Amino acid sequence: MNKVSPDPAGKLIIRPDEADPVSTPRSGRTEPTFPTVLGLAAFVVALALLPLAFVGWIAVQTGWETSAALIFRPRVGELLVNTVSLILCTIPASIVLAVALAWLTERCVLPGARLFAWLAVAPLAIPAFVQSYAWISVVPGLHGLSGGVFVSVLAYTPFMYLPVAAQLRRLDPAIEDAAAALGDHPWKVFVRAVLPQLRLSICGGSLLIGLHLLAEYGLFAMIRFDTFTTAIVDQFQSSYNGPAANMLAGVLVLACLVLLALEAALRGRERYARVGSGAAMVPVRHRLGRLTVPSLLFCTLLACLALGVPLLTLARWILAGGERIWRWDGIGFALSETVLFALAGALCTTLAAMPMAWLSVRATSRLQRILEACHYYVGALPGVVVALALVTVTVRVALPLYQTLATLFLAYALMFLPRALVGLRASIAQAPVELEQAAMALGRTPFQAVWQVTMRLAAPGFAASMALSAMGIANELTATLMLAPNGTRTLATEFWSLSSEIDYAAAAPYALAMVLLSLPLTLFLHTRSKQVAGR
Amino acid sequence: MTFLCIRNVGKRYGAVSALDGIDLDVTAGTRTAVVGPSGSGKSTLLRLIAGFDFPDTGSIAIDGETVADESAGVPVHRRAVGVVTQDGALFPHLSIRDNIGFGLDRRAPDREQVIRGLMDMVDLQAGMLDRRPHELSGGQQQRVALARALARRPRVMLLDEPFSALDPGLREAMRKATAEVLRATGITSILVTHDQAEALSFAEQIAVLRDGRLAEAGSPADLYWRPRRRDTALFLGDAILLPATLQDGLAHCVLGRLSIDARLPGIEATIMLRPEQISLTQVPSHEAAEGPGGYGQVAQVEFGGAACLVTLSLVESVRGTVRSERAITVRSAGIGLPPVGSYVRITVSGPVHVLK
Repeated sequence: MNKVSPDPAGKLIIRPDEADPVSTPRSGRTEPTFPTVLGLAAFVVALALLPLAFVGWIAVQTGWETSAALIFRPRVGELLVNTVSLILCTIPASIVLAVALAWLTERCVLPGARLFAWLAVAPLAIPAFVQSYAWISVVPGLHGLSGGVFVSVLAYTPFMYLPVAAQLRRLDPAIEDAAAALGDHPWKVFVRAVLPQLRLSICGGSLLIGLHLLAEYGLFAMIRFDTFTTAIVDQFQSSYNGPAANMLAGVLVLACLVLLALEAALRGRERYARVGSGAAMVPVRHRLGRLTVPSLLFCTLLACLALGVPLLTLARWILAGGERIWRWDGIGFALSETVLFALAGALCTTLAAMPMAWLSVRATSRLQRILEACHYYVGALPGVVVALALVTVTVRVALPLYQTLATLFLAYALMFLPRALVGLRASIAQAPVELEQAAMALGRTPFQAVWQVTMRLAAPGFAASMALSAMGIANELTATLMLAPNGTRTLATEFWSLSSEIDYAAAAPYALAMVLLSLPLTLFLHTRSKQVAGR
Repeated sequence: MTFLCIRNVGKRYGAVSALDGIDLDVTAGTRTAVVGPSGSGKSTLLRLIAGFDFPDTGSIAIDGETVADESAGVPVHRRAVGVVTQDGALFPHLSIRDNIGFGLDRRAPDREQVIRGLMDMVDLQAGMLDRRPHELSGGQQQRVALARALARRPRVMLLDEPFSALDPGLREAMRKATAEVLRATGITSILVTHDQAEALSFAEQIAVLRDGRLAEAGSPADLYWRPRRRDTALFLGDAILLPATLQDGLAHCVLGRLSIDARLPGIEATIMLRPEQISLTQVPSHEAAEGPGGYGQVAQVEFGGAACLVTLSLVESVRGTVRSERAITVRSAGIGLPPVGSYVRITVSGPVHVLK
């Protein structure tokens, strides 16, 4: 299985596991389908490389002097300090909270552990900008770095909790027993035997949170904390396609690449799979004793902050707004447009992922791995960079496409490509290549065989990929704001414009609709992480 | 008339040579079995004939049309070959009717009739037509796979270990039924298998592959009784190999003087005989001591029901002395087994084969 880490508001980083049980076909001269499919996949990759090409092109166009003048100025330094300190404060706090929470819910005798496990994942259903909307209306003075870190930790800790909890569930208790038998104190056992085993999940979770912090616009704009992304959007809204915004985008892409490289380096190459044969034992849960009550308080407090406050705030605004806020024509229009965008965007995304998904199952090679990496990298780029690249390209090269749905759907497809790829890949891997060959022996052309047999059998995966992408698109804010045709009103953009006018009550129904739309995804991720652990 | 003609075919996967210089001719309307241990390249050969893969060297021609050579190849969907694989590879999302009809024209007016005819041919009830593959037993699935492949009237039918996933009783019945259907339809067919008994009973021609090369090809009886190579002899069944001196059209060996199947110059040679050529008669010990050869002492008896294994220490008969130097294992009927330690006379029926 692949590692899936989720987010209803922004993006999702998916990385194939090293030990992926995907069948490896023979090498040698390949069948005649491959060139066509390879061509299609290469076309998608060319589109996926567009944002990177845009950054490079802008740098060349602008020239070194102007670039340097735009990059090395106090404003950029300020943004860099803000962004770096945001990441440096948020990630460690999330690690501590998530590991503690996961240890308590997975490996300790805690009353209501299953409920708390649910509550730890549930904040995923609340888009990050709704989280900060809730907090700013409870604590109007919330702003700056401390505010940003506080809301980010609440909004993004589930990204850390999910992989850490899954890893803890899979961990072989024999390792802990061995450490204990060698005379280590329980606390020392945790530090020496358990924590190193969590390294992969912590690295993965940190990368995910880091990329979200770089990409998020709504959360930080709401509490007036400037990051690269908010600065780019502000620049864009004041001067459209100015070189200043483009240069900032270049720095942002660099920051993303640094994060990716850092995570790859920290992840290391050690073996974490079980050595030895036989099935792992079911982990024993530790008794908490006198610590039970403080532990319960800790879990409850976190749930209240991350879940209780936003939900109560929403309820309060809805009650306070009364009948005035239920303008059904507006809400109905936004809802139907959101669903339409989400479905159409998801269809584009999944169709774009199909050639690569098929190739990565049927024809593994070095070229295929490079192409696949390009599919994944584009999902790590902030929506603002993708949007800016598409704005520039359409304005300069294909003006009729500027601010059209086609461009918007292309942006969605690029941002959510990894999500679609993962589900498709897994279900294509379950359709045996023998069936494709049988269809060809019965007179189907290779293309017909793939389409009529493999893709037909992969239909459930297609549906799952579409659902995952659709739920991501439903809450997308940044790219939609920048790319959508005039007059577009989705739930996210309506919520955004209403809350920007400080009409928090009127924004509440839209926030509620987004939370409800995100619930299925949260449910899916929760059950899926249980399945991966085999329980 | 040669229908399928394989000339000097070679195939490499990276640094590994899977097939090398294969030459094989198949007569129209006959059944050929390709046998060999796993890794000998037999499945690769089948893939090349089917068109799932293309040879690096050599050429393949079906009915006079070259379908693959070094430069070009006809892809599988234009070759008109039928393929039946080990697990049948039925489409799980289609009913039995649609599986069998997959290769037929969707708008053909006699489609239903053809499908029913095929069901009948492979001995399946028409009532199963609306079921899904997973509702059928393994044997029934293989019958459907065969019917599906027959539907397009293939020029060549390729069978890739189609019986090996079935249990033994069913395997034999399926083999017979398949051979019967192929004989009735007159389709040239090639069976790949690692089971020599299956190959011997199914085919009219056998090709033995070894390490990617064609070791030997010929009729089942020829290869079984008169193989050219030692490893072929051992692969196709149990064999007793003994050193012998050839003289006057007879082989002189530890079993006495035996008639041979070919006239060869008098030299030292290795002879091969099959265990079923040997019959045992219990004799008193003094006869064994004095006889002119072909005696043994029972060292071990392994009871196996219908066929039991008797291990004998051979008696080199030099008058007056009894020396046991060599042991052979013989299959014997379960009734009237000689007890361990007793002496037996060894009678060989039919000529023995001289290996070069």
